[in-house]
Amino acid sequence: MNVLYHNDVTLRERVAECLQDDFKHKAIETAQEVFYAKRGALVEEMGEGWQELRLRATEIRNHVTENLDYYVKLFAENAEANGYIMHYAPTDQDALADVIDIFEKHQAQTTVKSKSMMTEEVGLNEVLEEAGYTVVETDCAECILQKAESKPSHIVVPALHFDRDAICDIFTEKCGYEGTSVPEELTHFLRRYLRPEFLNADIGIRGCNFAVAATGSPTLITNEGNGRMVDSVPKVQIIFVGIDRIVPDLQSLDVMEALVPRSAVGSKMTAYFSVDSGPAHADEVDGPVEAHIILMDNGRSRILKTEFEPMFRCMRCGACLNICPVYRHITGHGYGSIYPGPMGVVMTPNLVGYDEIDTMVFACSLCGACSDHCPATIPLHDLIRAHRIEIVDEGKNHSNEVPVFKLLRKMWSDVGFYKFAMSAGGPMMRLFADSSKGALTVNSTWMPVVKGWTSTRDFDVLSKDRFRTWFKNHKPLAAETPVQENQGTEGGDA
Amino acid sequence: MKIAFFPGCMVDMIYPEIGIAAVNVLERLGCDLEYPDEQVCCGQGLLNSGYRDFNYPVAKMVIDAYDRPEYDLFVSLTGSCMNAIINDYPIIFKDDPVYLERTKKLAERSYEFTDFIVNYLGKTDLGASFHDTVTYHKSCHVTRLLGIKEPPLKLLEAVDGLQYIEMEHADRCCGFGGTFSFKQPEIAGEMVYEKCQTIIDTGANVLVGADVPCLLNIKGGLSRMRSDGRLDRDIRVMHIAQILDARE
Amino acid sequence: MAVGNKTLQDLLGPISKQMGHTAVAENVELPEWEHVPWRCTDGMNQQQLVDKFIEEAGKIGITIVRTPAADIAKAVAGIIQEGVPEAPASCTVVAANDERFAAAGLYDTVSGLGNVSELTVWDNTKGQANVDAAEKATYGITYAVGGIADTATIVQPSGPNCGRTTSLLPLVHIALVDAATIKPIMQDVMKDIEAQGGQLPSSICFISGPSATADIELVRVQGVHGPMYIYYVLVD
Repeated sequence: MNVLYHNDVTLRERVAECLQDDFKHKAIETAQEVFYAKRGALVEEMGEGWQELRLRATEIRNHVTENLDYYVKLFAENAEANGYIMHYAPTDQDALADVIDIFEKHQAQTTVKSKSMMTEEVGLNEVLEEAGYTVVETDCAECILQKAESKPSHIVVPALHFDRDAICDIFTEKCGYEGTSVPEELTHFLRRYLRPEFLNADIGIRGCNFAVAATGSPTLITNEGNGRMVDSVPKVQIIFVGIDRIVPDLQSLDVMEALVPRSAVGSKMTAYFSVDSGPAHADEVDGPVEAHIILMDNGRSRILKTEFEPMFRCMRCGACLNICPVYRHITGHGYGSIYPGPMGVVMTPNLVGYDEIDTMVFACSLCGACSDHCPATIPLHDLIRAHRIEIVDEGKNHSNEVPVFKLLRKMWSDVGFYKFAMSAGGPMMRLFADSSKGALTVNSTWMPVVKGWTSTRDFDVLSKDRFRTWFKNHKPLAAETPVQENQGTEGGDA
Repeated sequence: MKIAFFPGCMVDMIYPEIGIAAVNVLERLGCDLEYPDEQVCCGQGLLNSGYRDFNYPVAKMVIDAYDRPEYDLFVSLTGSCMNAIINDYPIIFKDDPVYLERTKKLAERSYEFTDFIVNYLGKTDLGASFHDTVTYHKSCHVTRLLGIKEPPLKLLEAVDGLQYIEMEHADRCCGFGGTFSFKQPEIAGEMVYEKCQTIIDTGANVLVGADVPCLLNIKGGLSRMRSDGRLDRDIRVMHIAQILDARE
Repeated sequence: MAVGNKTLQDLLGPISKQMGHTAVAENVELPEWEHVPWRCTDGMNQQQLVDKFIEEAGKIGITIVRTPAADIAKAVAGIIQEGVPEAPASCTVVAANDERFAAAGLYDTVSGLGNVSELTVWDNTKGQANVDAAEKATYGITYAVGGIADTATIVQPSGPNCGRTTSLLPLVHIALVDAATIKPIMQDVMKDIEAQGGQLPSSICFISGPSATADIELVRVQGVHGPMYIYYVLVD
């Protein structure tokens, strides 16, 4: 089974299930509203600076991507000079093999993890658990999901689909919790419950938000402090770094940090931002004695020099999810990928190919809100459409839809045929229409193709007369005011 | 000055009254309009579904019909068609330098309907009167992809008797998305119902838009909600051209 | 050191190939960036930066105490005496080993407080005992090397005299920060670090407020795995 994309059920089945789950659906809607409002206030406060900041981030990330092999090498060499033990993973299997080697070498038994999408991508937890190791997720939401054996519905707040009572039940059943369902009490319970796990773990596993090439420094953004705990307490540490996480220098981090928390959750800064440069020095008493970096490609480099290359700018902030009107309704579970929402729709097929992903790239109305909100100005909706074009070009589209598109091509490129189709189609549609509404209604859900629409909305029928006929025969109105050319400014105002 | 007018295929097929209103508005403003008969549709439904090559003959026809020396300007009544022609045709013509160049030239003299009136003609008060409560759907293509935010609102503001009520998340997608609304009807349905609810919540009697496809979708959503009891009053769905043409 | 099943070359090969490179470049210069974003701290003088720092701190649940350098012991003692609701009647304290603390008599003052049963001053010769003390401590006291006005952030490096856990494990973090070290934005701090050169600390933590989460129904809760409360003692 593919761990990145779960193709055990179809997209349609998943979507149906998500749409039925009213609580989940409402929880994501609320999250969107909250993040959207908070982000909006901060963006407004920055005025023109916001757009400049996005463009600077775009410049920085593009520069790295255009010189990616150089920067990957620079980061690797400088990280190694800092004392990191480097592991190079062209594929997920390479990464997993190296992690297992580290566990075996240390005869480790338990590991504490802070949230890392890369470890999700390779299915690390499952592999470690199968090998007999105990994996403890320490992010509040990830911990809830792990105890409930559930999957993230959001990449920033992954357990929104459970309400406080459900979480209370989970903690009571799985962790011996005896308190109420007040979020503060539940959270403070987790503080006490997980503290010994951090102190006793053999290995800490974490991700990396940005990797600084010039100084060989992986960085970590965290609010709860679990990332810092993983980074500070266990004596052995494993850091997953994607080749798409690199920034050139420390100063670049300022731009990224100004964008990510604002875009992700609508705050100016997270509680913690750690810039690490190697294991603990000999004269330090805490921090990892041994620190490993797994530098992983896993299909990322395939998009270099293609139109999908802008995805190398993605900072995994979730801004595109927080604004997406589709994500809003189908939630993270609707997509079937560990990377949901617009960024996921672009990234998932990049990583796993078109054969695996069902109709995922078609679950988008191309509204462009994601591209508008992306802090790295990735034209996400254009890339989603680019996937559709590639799918058709590669002949991986559903063959049963081709006749419909052929008919549309014929009708739109042959005026004679179009006029014929209108004169024949109009009366036919009116025959089946609800005459009081002049529309095909719920009674037309038996009609092929049209049922897609009429299952949820009415469809106005073709008019009796064409606009073009009226236009040809009409007598132009007299001007009320004489026309003066180009009195205003040109073009749109945005 | 001759203006090549592009109403969009839905106007020709389903809503001629929107096209007629727009022609009235532009002619009263002194515009000399032409509507070439040799084309049908911008064809964006094909490209947006991945069928770029199918869109090629359709796009060529549009360029041939509208890129003519006798036309000084191009005005599109529908934002999404305008966006397709100026922003998407370059993708379709990427291997056809002649049509690519013609598209770029056409794009330079292209205007969306409201942008043309406000920013090219410099007019906002067109003498229209419309005595009712109105809310405006800020469609994705006009608002975001073409970046035309102020013109429609300025035009509505100048209409005598019109009482404007802003809806929540006015720029959120209505869920049309071309073939998306046929291929993913469950998602598109949820999206349009939510859009309709924000419209209903304003209490306005009229929903106005500047993108015809959204109007088809929203009208269909409101109509369905009216039938199944989720909506207990009539809400009119109108193109902004119809408001600007109104003398009621 | 590189270990494992694959080499750097195994990773780089496909990347270079996809890019159409025959070899990895020897050196790449950073370009002149075209876009220079406006920031809200642009043009502020030091006094305004300090005011901004205080204003932002107030927004994210940080308590600020201002004091002249000579009175830092008194300021810290005041915080501990006042206490927090979750603090036990008799609590322990862990503090960084800092000359300025010693010079101001902070260690003596704190250990003499009625509600303090034990003070551990970070001592790297005692190894794990420091971390054990931090784990039990109600209060952790550190001296930050700088501050950032835009986000009310303090800059806290790890080192032999102050561990990563000093500011992480206790229930309450009391951070001293010199008003003169407050910079407009993170970029200014990074510039200074780059200018200093040499071996970087193994960890530099940029701290902006108490540890917090909103994972349960988006309700903000302070005090997850790091401190539940944070005090900045702003030293003039």
